[in-house]
Amino acid sequence: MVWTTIAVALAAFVLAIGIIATSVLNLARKRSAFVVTQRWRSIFEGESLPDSVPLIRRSQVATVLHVWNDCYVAGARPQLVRAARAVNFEALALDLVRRRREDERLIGLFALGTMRSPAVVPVAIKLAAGGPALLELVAYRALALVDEGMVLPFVQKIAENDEWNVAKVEFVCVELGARKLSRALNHVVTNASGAQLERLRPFLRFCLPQSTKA
Amino acid sequence: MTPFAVHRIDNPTAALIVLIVEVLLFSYFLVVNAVYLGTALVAFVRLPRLVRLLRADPLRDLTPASLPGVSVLVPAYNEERHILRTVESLLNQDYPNFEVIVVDDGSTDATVDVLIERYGLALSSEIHPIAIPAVPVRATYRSSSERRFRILVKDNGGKGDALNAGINVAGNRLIFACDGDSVYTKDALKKMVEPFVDDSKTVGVGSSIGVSNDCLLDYDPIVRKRLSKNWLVRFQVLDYLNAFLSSRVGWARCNALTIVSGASGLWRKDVLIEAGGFRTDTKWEDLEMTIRVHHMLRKKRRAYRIRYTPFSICWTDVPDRVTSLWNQRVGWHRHVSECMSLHRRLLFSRYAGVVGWVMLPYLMLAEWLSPLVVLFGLLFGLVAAYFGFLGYFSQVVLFALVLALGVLTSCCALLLDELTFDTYPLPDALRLLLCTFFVVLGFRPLVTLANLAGFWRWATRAPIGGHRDIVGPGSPPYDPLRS
Repeated sequence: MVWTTIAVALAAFVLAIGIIATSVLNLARKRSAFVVTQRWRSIFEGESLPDSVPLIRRSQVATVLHVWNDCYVAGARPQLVRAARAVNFEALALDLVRRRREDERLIGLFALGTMRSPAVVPVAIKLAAGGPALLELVAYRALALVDEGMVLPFVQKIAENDEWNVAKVEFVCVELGARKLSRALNHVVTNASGAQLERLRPFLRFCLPQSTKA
Repeated sequence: MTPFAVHRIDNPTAALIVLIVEVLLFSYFLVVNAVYLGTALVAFVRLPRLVRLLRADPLRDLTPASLPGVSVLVPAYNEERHILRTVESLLNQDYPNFEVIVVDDGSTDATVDVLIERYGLALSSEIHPIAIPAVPVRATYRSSSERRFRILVKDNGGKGDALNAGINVAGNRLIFACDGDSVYTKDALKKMVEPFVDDSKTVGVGSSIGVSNDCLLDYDPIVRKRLSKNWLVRFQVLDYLNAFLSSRVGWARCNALTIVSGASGLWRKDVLIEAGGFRTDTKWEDLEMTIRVHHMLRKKRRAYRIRYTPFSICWTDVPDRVTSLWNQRVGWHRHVSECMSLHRRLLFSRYAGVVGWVMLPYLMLAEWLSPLVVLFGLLFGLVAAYFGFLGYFSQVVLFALVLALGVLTSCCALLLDELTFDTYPLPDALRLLLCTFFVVLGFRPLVTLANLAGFWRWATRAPIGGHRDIVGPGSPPYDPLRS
């Protein structure tokens, strides 16, 4: 029992050190993230790009692309594409996608999809095959945005799984547009079971009238 | 040295009895702590990853109009000090389709008056259907400026009865049960509804609850989170982190969430009605409803999930005086006892699955019986000391082990918070770290005594107490023991 007590006390001590270390790291990370976020948000939301953009360190890539993604979802799009070209975001996002942490992969994958970068395809195929539902959805989004041929598998996946958030799928559908979605939707709806039809119901408004008739 | 306290006993029978008792006590101690550390381990593996992923999601803030409607029910009894703050935070939700219904449960203070004055409410003649029997509603007030808000005024019947009255008038298929003295973050409804949208089998969602004593509140997100100077509050901060981060995440992972808290619980209305509504004859209603839904749906062999969102969307003041903490914990333990008694047939039944075979036995051992085991252990120690059976060195080591395990469990919760939500800044985290020692020495013994008192009140069928004494004429809810 003495050794058990000593082991438990040591474990508690290690955790206590862990708490202090994590707390200090959190503080430093928060400060750094705040500065980077403010700087890049003003660039992305500005009318024009400044003459020189700040250098992005490896530890800042995820934060910068996170801000870029947020600005894209909020609707500030033309400036974003210009900024992406100027800073070569494609290479940065590819670096993120190859990292181990899922949150970094998600940020990189979303950005690459938005940029319609063909380089995303091999990684996206791998991530679309399994993993957290959110990562899977973003991988399918990237594939469908890059390659029109992947819209059909995307719609089939919507019909088959009930783990994707409807609101997020709807956002991707709007991005793809009715023209790309309509044929795939019709194809899947024709062969769908009752439960699959139920899952597709919220997206049927993306069917164009002429293809629906067909 | 043996792992136990046996020192020297000449009588072999007495030695055997002492050894058996000590093995049982030590096994109990090991099992309870091992299960706790197991759930904490699940949380360590899962939670930081999940939270980072959700934060990185660029689509996290989407609020489409197609989200399901929610009826927010706020039972209120003598809440004139807090009710405005609560209602403001609820009406301020970033959610497209919801209504807020305050059910005044026969308050004797100015709860209704402050709301009438603030929102310019006027009497409204409405006829409500009765899906669940409850004390009749005497009056309904509506606001012309804030159409999503109304008040039901009824005679006192307890929190469960007030919720039942609210369910009867609720116009949406999801019910968010709240407390009249808590505040809710702006994204509370969105975070709670997300599991329903993600998984159609979801019937209920619980959330984490933050301690708001001494925080700066401004209806919408907590303006500044800071640790109270009151040590009793600090102990409860650790207690809440333990319960909400380390424990519930692990249980929810295997669909065995013990409790959807009464302060922030989202339920499907049809499931609540099918279950017969909240009980009005128990001290509290949240634990019982959660176990009842598990019991009912497992017995009917229906696929379902009770989910848990680890985000603190609800912030509440915890007791800052020993007497109020004592009363709260006595009530909680009484409710645990009531639930164990009401749902005893779920234990180890064929259909019960992980709920009946793991979660309830753990609840029984680690919560319900724990004060009795502690009492028995103390008495046993005293008797053994009297007869000279105790090895005092062993006792010191045992005490050190209890202390170290207590610190370890608190540190687990604190580290989890640092790795995920980083609720408290560095100085506060250090203060909480210091508290981990005194939790074992001061707070837990106090809570154990309160639990013992709660057990006693349940065993002696003492009156429920407070405003819950007056029980309405509600019909008995779904009783798994009878059906």
